[in-house]
Amino acid sequence: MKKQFKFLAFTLFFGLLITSCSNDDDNSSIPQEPLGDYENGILVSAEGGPSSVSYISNDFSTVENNIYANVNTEELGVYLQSIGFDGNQAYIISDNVNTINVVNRYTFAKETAITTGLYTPRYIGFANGKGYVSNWGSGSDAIDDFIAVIDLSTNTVESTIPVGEGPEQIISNNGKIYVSHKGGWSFNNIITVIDTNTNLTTTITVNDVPDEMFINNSGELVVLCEGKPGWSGSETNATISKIDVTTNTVTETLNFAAGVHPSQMSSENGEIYYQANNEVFVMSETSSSLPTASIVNLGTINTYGMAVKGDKLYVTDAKDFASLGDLNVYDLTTNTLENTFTVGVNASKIYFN
Amino acid sequence: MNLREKDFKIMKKGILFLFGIIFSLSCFSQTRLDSVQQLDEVVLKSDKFLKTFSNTQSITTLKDTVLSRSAPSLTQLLNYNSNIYFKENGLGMVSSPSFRGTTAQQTVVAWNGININSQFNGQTDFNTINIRNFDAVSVRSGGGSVLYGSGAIGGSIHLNNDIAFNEGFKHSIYANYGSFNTLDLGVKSGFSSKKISAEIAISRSSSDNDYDYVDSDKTNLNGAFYNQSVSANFGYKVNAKNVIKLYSYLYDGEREFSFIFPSETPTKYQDLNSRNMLEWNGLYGKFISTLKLAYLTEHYKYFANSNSDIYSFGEAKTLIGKYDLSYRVFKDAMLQGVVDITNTSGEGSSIGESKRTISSFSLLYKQEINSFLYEAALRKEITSNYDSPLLYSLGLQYKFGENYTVNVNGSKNFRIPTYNDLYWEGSGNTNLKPETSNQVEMGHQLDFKNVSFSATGFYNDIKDMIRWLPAGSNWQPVNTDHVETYGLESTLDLKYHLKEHQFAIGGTYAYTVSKNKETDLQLIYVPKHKGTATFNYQYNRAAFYYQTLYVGEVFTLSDNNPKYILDAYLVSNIGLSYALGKEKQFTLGAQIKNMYNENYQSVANRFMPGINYNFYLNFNF
Repeated sequence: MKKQFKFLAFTLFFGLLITSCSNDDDNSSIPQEPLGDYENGILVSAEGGPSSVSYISNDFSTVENNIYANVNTEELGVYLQSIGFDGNQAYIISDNVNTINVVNRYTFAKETAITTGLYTPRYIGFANGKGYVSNWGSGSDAIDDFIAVIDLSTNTVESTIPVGEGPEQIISNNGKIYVSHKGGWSFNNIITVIDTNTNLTTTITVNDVPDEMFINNSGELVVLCEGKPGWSGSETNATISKIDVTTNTVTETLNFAAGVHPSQMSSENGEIYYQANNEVFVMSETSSSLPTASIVNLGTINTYGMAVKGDKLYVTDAKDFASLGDLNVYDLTTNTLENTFTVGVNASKIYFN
Repeated sequence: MNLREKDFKIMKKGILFLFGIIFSLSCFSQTRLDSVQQLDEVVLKSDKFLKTFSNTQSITTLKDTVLSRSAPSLTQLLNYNSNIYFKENGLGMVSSPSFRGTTAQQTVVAWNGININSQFNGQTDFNTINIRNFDAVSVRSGGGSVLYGSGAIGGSIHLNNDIAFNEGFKHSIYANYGSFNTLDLGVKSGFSSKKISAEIAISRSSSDNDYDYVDSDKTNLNGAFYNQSVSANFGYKVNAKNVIKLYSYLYDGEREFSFIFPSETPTKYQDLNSRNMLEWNGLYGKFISTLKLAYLTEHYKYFANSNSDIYSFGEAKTLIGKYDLSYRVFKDAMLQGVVDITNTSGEGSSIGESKRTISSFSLLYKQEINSFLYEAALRKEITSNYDSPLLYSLGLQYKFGENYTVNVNGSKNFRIPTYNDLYWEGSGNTNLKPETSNQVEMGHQLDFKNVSFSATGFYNDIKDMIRWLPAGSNWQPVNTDHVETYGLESTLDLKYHLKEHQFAIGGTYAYTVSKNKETDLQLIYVPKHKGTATFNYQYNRAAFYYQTLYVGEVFTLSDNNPKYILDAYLVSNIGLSYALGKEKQFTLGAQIKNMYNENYQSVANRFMPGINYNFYLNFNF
């Protein structure tokens, strides 16, 4: 019923658009067809349970929670770890249920699901028409971790590449796949590089607990290493490390003070943003030292995700981890809180559609 | 010498002193024996506090046909026959109770008087207890930490074996087979003479548990389970004054954990628990002395992938020494002192070998003055692991004639931090305090020939609730929540017979508010309403019964978001039975469960089975 209503509303809206266009004498530009209800907005994925995806339009006027369930009348499995985007598709990864649900990223209509060949999948990256998915394997087995290679035309796992323990985030650059090994249920300190033509791997040793990565404007791989926490019994410092991707060597390491363990990093307009102890810091990606003063104090929330886009900072608050979370939007021109939206349970990732 | 060492020394002295008393009493007591009746009523019950110091709180005892008509899990028995609410991850899967709106760790399960909640998580999984090994299961509502120790905040469940004498040979066989290839077997064999009593019981329960979900094309996958228990209980009357008893119990079970999505990795869980207790009762005139020595082991293995041999585990061994001595001060007054020492040693995949010793002293007094009765108790524990509060309980009872009784009870109770809370690698917090509860209740009991009715209002204030919260990238247990629970529990029983037609109706209803004082919101998975009803009609050898369970809606998110609730459900079962044989020693029965095919879940997305059937045979000889 809801679907039918949506279709009707969509058709009406579309009809109006066409009608209004046809009355327009100015034919210099043909308005782009809307690609779906969830275009031009922010997607916030929530680990759950229940897992969910929320949509907030770029102008903040439309907010819709549970968009996957609303469109497809089924639930995503726990825990929604991340979403990867390629072409018109979004790949929604639920780790405990070993599933990637493939949807149209703008309509969120389900196209298929990948349910075999995955084992605690975490993140997906794309290169050469293939998807590369990091898998932790069993929590009690340190040597069964792998990268699943997905044939994106059939959405099946075509091969697997064994890697070190706890492969986490994945990014793609110039036909290579970079995997940070946070360590899964343990700790690790490597980056695996996969040549997607041969599927051969090399590893780069970095500092402990590498997690978030990006390629900066100079073409370097920047990695946030969180360092081993105090409770591990062998605490190590966190760093931001830069890697020369032609030689696969660490060229620069910025050390955090002992006891500081940043957990989110985002890059935008040549700047690096990171969060530590509920404070957000910013630095130029060419800077050789870490900033001393933060730009935003997030207060007493349970920060669970962060992203920066344009002049906005987006932060999720997981509250008590057992209720609906918030997405807080800060204006980075004034560094003040601008908006708060209710999102899903344990909301952790923010994407721009 | 620091305070703790001092306490320890005092305690040691106390124990020596008490041991001195018992030996001198047993050797030199020349006082004439109290009545034999006292021996039978008090000494032969394994869990004496249920009789002696629980007068002002409500106790419901389930036995005989109520047990044989129930499925073998403790969850099913209590779900249909008590005020306790259960949260079950699908049929037969992990099951946790909420008693009077409290958490699973705030309900004690006691085996023949000994608290058997897990050392690791502080609770009992009610689907890992098979009721066929016990003679009676009692439900004691309200605080009982003074008597049963940590966790007796919402109430306690008592699994008891009675040691009977002078009954000759007694055997029984119970067999039940039903839908989803579910098998439930129990065999008991016993012999007792004037001096000796011996009983052995074996039970086994297993199920493919692959039921179809109601109104869905999905099936419960990876839900199979089995468990088997052996118990052996012996009693020996050394002489008119001394009785020695030995209780033994071994449980072995394996469960797969069912899927919500078929693509999940199959997991399973194995339990191996043993319980042994040696008890020596002595009646020395006005003194009754009981020495208990118990050894409990628990061992679990969790397979994160059933297809792999790799598992994580936890193993704990607990040695308990307990001595209690009661003294009949006057004819209607009793003074009792209890000393116990519990020594636990545990380790696991994520817990280094850790030992803890807890000693406790209790003093109890009870007196009856005409229609008035009061009971008072104090307990203090001494341990180096946490600061232990002084626990107390005070109960008053007044009988307004034959038919109407009023009880008032107030107590302070606690739940101590578990092994996981204290010692989990990297997370354990050794600075935790016990959760404490102050509670009061008032009960009204009406008893007539064919009708009895009780209603109890309660209020419970629970502080320092332990919850695991993130501390940086890690999760750690902290004393955080302050919860208030209050409500009403009621039971009604009606009996009527007309010649050979016997009718019985029983019902329970509980109204429960359980809220976080900070947010003023109801706790998740605590229904405001729960009710049960049974109707039983017996004509000669035939019996017909109808059983129904109502559970109100529950919130699944702590913000009480109305979009995330589980709907209320009403589940009903019917059964028929017929007794054969000269002595009616054979009973044949058939049951239809969930006869209206209700589609329900007690945990989100954990669907329970629709209509299903079973047949049973009970043979006593």
